[in-house]
Amino acid sequence: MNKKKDAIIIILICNAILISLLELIIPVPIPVPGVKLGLASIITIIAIAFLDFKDVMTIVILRCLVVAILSKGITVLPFSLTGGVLSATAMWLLYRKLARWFSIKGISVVGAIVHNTAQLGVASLILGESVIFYYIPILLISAVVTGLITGTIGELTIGEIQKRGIFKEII
Amino acid sequence: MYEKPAVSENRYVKLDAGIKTVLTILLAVAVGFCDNRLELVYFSIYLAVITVLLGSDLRFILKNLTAYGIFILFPYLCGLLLSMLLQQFLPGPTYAYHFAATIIRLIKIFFIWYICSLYFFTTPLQVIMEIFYIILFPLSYLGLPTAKYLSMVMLVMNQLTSSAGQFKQDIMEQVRIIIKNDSLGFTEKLKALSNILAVFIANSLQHSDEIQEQVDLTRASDYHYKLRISPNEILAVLSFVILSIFIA
Repeated sequence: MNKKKDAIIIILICNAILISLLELIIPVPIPVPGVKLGLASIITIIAIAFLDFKDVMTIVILRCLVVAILSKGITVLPFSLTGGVLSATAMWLLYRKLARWFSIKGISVVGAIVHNTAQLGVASLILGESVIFYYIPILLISAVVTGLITGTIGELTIGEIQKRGIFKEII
Repeated sequence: MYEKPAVSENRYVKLDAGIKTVLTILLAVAVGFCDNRLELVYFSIYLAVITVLLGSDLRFILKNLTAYGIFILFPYLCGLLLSMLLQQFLPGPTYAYHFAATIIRLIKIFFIWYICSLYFFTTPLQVIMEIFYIILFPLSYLGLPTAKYLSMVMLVMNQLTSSAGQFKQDIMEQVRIIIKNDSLGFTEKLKALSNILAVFIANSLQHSDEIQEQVDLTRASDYHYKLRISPNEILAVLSFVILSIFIA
């Protein structure tokens, strides 16, 4: 068993949280309240490419927990956990089983769609109102746009990481 | 000039963690039992009083409102407007709008949201981790190393504290320059961003040895909790009992 796995997970979680700070300076193409680029998903995509499923889930779950504690907003945890776990699972399945049919960009778009839909589902469950699902078209459009952007960055970053052999030295 | 004491110095913040956690859970559950507007008013007064006693301020309330608005309120209002629009143009059964019930539900959800945020705002991190350890401890019987995962959470937070400053100075500055560079096309900007991220990730992974050492040093005895009862705890429990009488 790789002894440095835990350290890699901690570092990737930190990286995901720090990278999401870049959303403060990168303009969002869709001016809708609450819509974010989701740059942290780049780290999820990288983890899916180089680590196994258990490590990916550990990264997603612990990252959501850390962000909830740091922002003193534990009540967003059901939203972030549901969206994060389901989208990471969908992306992992597409990457490992259907890589022939989906590029990293496509996987990222699917991940964003699943993430947004899952969060809307949680909001609907909590509120007990299905009318909230009429908001889906706006979320789907934003998911496609942000998913394409993060997927493009993720694809290029994975290429750079493979070129430098970063994970080969450690894993 | 009067200076508000820091949150950590407030005596109500130093309430026993276990009792505070139980009261928070009971308060969140009690919201569900508020059936009419008067009970919601009692609850609002109670929350306002404990907000003042715990030393929280208006900024905290506004921050909570923003997060609540983004996740619940805004999607609901957008969904409502879009459904009304669609029903003007498409035939079919109309959606039954239960506005009064929904508004009460929205208020109750906000109260639960607020109670949980107040708890985390006024409880030190180490105490939160100890409570998490107690709550998640039964999972260790299923083979889940809860102490290790909680120490990983703490290590992440320590790492963030030490590296956030450098990140903002170096990486964010580089990204800012790229974004503002009008001579670069969209694809070139994305490529430049990817290069920066790849280098950043490569450099960060060089510290994996020292971080792994810290993970290996984790012991379950790092998380210890002892129940402590003082007049403040008794007062807090009594106040909840009085509130319960009003809303029962």
